[in-house]
Amino acid sequence: MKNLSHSVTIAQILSVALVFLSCGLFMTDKPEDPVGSKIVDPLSFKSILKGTVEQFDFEDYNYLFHSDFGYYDPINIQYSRDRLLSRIGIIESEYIGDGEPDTIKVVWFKADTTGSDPVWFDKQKEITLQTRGYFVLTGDSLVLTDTIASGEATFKLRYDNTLNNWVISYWRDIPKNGAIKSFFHPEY
Amino acid sequence: MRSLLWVIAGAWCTFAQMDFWPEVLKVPEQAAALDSNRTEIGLKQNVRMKVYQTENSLFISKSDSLKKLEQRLGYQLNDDNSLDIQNHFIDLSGSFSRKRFPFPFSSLGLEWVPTAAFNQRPDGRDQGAGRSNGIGSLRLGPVIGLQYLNLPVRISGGGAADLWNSELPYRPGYNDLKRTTGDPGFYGSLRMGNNTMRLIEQIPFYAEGGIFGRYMNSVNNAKITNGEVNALFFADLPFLDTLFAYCADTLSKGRTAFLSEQGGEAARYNSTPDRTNNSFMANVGLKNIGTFILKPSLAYSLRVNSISYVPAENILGDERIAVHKLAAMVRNDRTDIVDYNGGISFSFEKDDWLYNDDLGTRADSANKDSLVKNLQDFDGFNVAMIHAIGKKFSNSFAVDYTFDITRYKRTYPNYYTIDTNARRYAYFYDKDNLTLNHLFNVTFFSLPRVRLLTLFDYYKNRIVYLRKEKSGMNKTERSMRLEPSLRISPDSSIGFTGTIGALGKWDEYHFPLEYEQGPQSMVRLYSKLEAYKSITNSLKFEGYWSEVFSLYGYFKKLREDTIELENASLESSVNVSSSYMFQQKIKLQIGSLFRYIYYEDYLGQDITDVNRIYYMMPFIEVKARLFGNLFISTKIERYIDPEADDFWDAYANLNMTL
Repeated sequence: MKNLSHSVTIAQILSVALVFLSCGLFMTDKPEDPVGSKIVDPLSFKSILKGTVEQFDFEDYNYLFHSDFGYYDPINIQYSRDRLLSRIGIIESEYIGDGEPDTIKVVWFKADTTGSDPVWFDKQKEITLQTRGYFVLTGDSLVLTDTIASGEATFKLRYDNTLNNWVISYWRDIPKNGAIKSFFHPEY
Repeated sequence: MRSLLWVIAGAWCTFAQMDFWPEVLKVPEQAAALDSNRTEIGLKQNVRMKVYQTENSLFISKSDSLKKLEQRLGYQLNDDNSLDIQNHFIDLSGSFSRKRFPFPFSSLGLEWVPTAAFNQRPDGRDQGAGRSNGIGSLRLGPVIGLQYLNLPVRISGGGAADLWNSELPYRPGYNDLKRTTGDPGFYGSLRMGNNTMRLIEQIPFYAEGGIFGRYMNSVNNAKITNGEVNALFFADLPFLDTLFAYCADTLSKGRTAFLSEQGGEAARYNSTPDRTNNSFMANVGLKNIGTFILKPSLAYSLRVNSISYVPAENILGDERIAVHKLAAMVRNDRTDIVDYNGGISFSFEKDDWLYNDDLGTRADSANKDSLVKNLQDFDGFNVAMIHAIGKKFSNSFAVDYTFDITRYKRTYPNYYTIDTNARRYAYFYDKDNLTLNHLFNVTFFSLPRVRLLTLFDYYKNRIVYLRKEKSGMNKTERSMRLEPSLRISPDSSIGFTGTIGALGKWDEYHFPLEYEQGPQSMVRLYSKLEAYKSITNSLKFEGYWSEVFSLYGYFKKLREDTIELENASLESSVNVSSSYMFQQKIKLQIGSLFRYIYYEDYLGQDITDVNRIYYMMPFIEVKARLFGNLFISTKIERYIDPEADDFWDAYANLNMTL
């Protein structure tokens, strides 16, 4: 019984020490020095709001997509922000980076020219944009002419008071070829 | 902003009580025994402009010494008049059993599970797309119940069938419903145990598990087997308060059939891919070790989730995620000089895509897709620590302080190359993220007629991308907030609450030469005055007036402390309303929100654009509680704007439970 008591005391001390002696863990690693041009918006998401009174202001996709963001495919299966960002990361790793020129370009445009986006965006409400169309072009670094994907997308936006920016809260993505999985689909 | 104050205060309270103890490691609460003769009614109606949603259920249970009958009637509707679509769902499941038959410890009976869904779609779409469709499903078969000590066992099985029609007119008739396609099959189910009741009274061990299979004979070959089991054990040990151990495993194997509508095309009887989905969890914990001043606790948990598809599906979706978590916590007795609780936790994650395949790094036309998918593999490391200290004094002065810090590092180790191409293709989102927060709450005094409190918090978020492709975006975000609040209530019929606050946010780039302009910053000053006056016990006036002044800008040039203004805004809001309570059951509230927003864009020192937005939203709201559990809530408001289009917004809710 005495040994058990002794062990318990040691366990207590170790537990307490573990709590207080942890400072070295809370330091970030040293990054590599940046090379090439800064990659912020290679897929041209900022152009989605072209022609409206608002704009996206982000350097990191976590600041473009709301934390409760949902990506929906044509059969309305929902995917989280993390799943979409994984797919975007894959696209970027394949078409840009390593100090080379980008070999991908996404053209966003208003698919329905008869409608219009809201005159002003009420920050208290979720805003639904008019349907956007898109083309995904690839090629070599100078001429991007190969259309590898196209489709239509419905976006909803929310104003994030913490970020003081408009962020995308909903994206329904319908590829043109009738497939379920568009170029941006997390399981593409 | 007062509401913001309470949100933060609420978050603080939650946070102060937060620890890293696993949610599943707790003594189960035994479910209250339900009357075997009972009727439950649930009604939910929700109307908002052109959308009507309803969810209704009736459950009847009749029992005597010889037999038991249970019948459910459930109906759900989602009616969207703006799109002219309706989705209906009906559930008529039930069961009948003869007790103590044929043996004293068993029962025998019949169960039926009929469900039906009808999706009404407008006619006239091209090539039949978007036609109305419906599906009905039925399971019917005998059910056997066994009871040995505290171990209940339920076995059932029998026939199953799906009937569907994907080409129905807008309003189908009886003859349309007869033109269905069928898919027969069978099902089986076994369920044992009860995770809120000890199997043996003297041993604190709880377990429950079951297996269910449904096997259809369709071209989609829909055959699904689901199984799950969980078990909990706890014990009081010498010098230890409690030892807990919990384990759970779920498995789903096969494919299920359903009627799906794809991208505006006609509905069709479809099935999910053939896959195996497994989730395993194990936890062990020692709570309140010893009996000294500080009470430490330790917990370890392991979670493994995996999904794999059969090769014939040709889906690159196999994935396995494993997370190990170790946590140590400390707290003291509430009777001590100060209240303290804190802890630290470590998590190690591993995400492995295509874990069944041995992939190299050289890509060719046959394996490139696999290698691309495999780039998503990551190793994650998370360490989090929290310390919360509080002290309440006898004169209502109180101080609370919380410090929390979290680091999350994620690295993507995989890469591939293409033949003669020396480039290494990789996922370059390796990231090391550190956040910390200091939060002070001071209550200077809290008396029945007057209360003064304030909060101060400081937040820092350090974002570090480790790879050269992204490291140019590295930055540190900081914010600071001070928010005092004073409440005065001369008597119970009148009260005022005033809140003022200041919030500053500023960023710092780690590689400023990567940017043409400096990082963003923001200053916000805000105030809110709330007041209420009760004229009688039934009549009350209330309202608030708030002002929010914001400045956004960025540092003008690198390494200079001057700030270039981007925009400035002032948002003024006034909300006034009066409410009348009828017989303490019905509350009628009439009022309006008035809002004015002034907004300036700047370029340098010059104003480039000015926007003024005015709008008001008058409203009428009625809330009522009738017959004990019947709640009705309805609100009608009108958005009135001198420039944009005006519109109505209205909703009504009805909830009843019996």
